[in-house]
Amino acid sequence: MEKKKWYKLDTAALIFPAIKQHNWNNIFRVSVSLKEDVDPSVLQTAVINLMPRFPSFYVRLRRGLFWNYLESIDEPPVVRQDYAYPIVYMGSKEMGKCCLRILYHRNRIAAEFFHSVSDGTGGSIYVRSLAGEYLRIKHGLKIEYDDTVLDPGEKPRIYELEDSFSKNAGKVAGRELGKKAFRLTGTKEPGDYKHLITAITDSEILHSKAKEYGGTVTAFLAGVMLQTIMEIQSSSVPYGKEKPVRITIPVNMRRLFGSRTLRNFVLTLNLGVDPRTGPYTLEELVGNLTHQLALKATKQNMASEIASNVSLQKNLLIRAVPLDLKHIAMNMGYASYGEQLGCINISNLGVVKCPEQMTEYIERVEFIIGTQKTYPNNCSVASFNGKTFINMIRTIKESELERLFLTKLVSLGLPVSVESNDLGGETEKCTV
Amino acid sequence: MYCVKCGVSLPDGTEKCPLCGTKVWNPEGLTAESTFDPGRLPEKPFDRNPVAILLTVITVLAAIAVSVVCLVLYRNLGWSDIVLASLLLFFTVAVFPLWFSNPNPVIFIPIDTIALELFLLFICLRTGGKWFMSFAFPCAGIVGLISTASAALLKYLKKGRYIVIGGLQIVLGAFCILLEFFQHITFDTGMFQWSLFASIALFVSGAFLLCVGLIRPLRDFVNRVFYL
Repeated sequence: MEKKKWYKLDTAALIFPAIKQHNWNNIFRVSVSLKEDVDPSVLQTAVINLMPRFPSFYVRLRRGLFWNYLESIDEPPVVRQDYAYPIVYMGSKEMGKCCLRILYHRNRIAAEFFHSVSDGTGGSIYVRSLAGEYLRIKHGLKIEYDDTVLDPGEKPRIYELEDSFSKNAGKVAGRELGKKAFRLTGTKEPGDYKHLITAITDSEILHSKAKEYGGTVTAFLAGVMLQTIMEIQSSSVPYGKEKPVRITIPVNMRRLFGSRTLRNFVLTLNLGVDPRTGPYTLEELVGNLTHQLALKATKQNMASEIASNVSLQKNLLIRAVPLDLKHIAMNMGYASYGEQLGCINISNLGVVKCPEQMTEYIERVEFIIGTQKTYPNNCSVASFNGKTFINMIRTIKESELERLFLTKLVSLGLPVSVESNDLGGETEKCTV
Repeated sequence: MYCVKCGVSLPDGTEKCPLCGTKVWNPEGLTAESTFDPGRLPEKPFDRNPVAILLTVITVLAAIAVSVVCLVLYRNLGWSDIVLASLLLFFTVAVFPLWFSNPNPVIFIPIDTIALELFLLFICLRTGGKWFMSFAFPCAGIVGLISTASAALLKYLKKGRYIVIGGLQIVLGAFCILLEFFQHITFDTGMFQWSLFASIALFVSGAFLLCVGLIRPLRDFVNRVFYL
């Protein structure tokens, strides 16, 4: 019998099995919408064909005595019809079979990943390669494979499977912890139900608008979001008692460190302002965030951030502690600092590119992150073919944040069209 | 199509703007399709709560261990029946609700009250006491009733929490006097030895909360000061 391959969880991935709970865990989704309806049998073949090329994606989560690990699987996941909402809870039972879920709905191919497997960049390369393989089988497309869409006929590269955290950890560990941030709240939807609002805008206008305010697209959107959350806070919290407002921004470190791993290589920064210091204009907020990003998202600073995580992972005493005790400690650490320093995530995948031959078959590429354990709202952004897709997910009934944020974009002169998984009608909610 | 309030563009046939809920004028009677399939819900989105499994296993193991120890030591159940009854009470009150994803206190509190009454009856019979009917039964029953009523009011009333909690404190104050009365007739202790102090404290804080609930400026002041 062939021995199964197993993978150590990378430094960032270690936290996710520890903090999962019986109705929440950290999942994200990347989807590609074609200009035609998806054929599930062809999609299943494409999923099977990609197995040898993406071995670190076809894995299940296992428990060891001291650490969790990922083990390769023999059977690929079976493609399924998509659900009424994205990021449906992935239970321990499902993750014990496969940490990857392939879904289809009309013209959309979506993959949902447990975050221990990969991050947004790795996930988007997988999904684009899946769409490429689908189009190759279906239409006999001859694709010029590059870094964005990998050739299923090739062997996986060693650098794609590496733990870039351990490799790039700095010598000095350093981390700043700020005060707790303001918390968005609302009426929780029953069960696992999630609302999704997709705002579509023109990438070029968005880019020029961001430039006008002196920042990148991420800094501009985060600035508008900061302003929105500050407004929400000022309407509910008395003056002088406001808490800092911060946006959690994941930074893709592949470019900083020249890594080409398909596994996790992302670190988050909590950037924002303290409203007690006075009112801010949008220009000031965007400028502030741009400077904070420039100051913190440097190779040296990130290397020291990585070193803080890696040093814990490599500590002999900590390594000798049984897994369950590690989980309890990690949970306590996460509850105290993991999500207390930010109000919402804005995860920008950037401009998603793929070989020219594929572009004419693809309508859109979207990126959706699930809500955090305690944040009721989250936001993710991806741009494809001149359009930017801002996906806002929430587990609460109230759409106040989305309304204020998107109407602000409209008032700034951006053309915004809005789609949702419940178009104003009463959708039957999951009450299990 | 556009939302007249938000200014965002919407797919043709949208009923209501998903941001503000404003109805969209749809003269051609078009029907928009959701970006997802609204009918397809996950079959079983939750795992069993691991804490529930762990506590159930611990309770069962403790019950087996105690029974075995007593059987080995005394060749009969000995005192293990008291431990078993306590474990059963613990399971009903603390572990059983964990098996449900969204336990409703209005259902579980009466169940807990019945379990407590049965436990007390068992202990009373087992120890040959004469305190069940005149003390334990009415006291536990009243506590169960008050708890169920408060849970129901707090769960289903959206407003008036100050009034509910204030009223609850006044009722608890009255219950303290009643409790001492049952103590008096059962155990022949004196009247008004401690209950008056507790009742007065509860009446005062209850009356204050009622005032906070009824007088709006005072309520706003309390909310602001205590950051509620």
